[in-house]
Amino acid sequence: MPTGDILTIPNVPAEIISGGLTGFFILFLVGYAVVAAVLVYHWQKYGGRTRRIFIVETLFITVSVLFSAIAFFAIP
Amino acid sequence: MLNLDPNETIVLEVHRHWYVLMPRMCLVFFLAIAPAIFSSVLSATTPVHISELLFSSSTFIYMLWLLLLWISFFITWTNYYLDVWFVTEKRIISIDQVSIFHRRISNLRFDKIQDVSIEMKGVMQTMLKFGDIHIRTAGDASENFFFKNAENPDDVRRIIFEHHADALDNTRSSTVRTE
Repeated sequence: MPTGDILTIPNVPAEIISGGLTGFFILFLVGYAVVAAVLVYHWQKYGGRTRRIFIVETLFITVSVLFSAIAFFAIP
Repeated sequence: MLNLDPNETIVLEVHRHWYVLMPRMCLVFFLAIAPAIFSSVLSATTPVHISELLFSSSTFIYMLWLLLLWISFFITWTNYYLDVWFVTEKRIISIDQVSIFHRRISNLRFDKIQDVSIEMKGVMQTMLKFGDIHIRTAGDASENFFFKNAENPDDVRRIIFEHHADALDNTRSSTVRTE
């Protein structure tokens, strides 16, 4: 039976970690895009074409793209 | 979006007051800064090799966390903003956005209204001018209209009364004409 420190982390190559995180990030973005599309659909259909809806939509999309870009470039 | 009659226009749009979003905004803000507090505690208490692994991808994880908070806040905002009353010259259209895929729409003609009462209780409601509006109808209690935390309830009641009076005048004059 192997013995050793329970907190020892196996030495995984950096490419595998990076690939795994990229795959997870793509799945996350797909889910995010689906929910975002539902929200935008609701704003367009039920919120009317008001100035407030336009501002909220622009803010939501801009910040989402910004956070996604930072996350993408931060993948180790 | 709304099926209005050809000569019907929207006189007033009533939303809930922005103050009802404050608890959610505070929660999102706290959850957004929580990882910074948590990471300083974590780095002091966990073995070095684990904290190194976590912090090498910390920006990535933090951005995903912020994206989750961001979209969850907008889901709440959507339910808040699409919960609305439209007052036209003929009726009140109540849209109750229960959740993203659950909407209830009901109409109330002015001639059915029996009483409009408002309630503003507490310091915040009095200072920020928001409160509950309750409209009693001629039908049974299930047809009553209720709007919680509406902005400027005094103005809403005044406008409803004005249009209610107009509706009654129109009904009387059409009754006289038929006689």
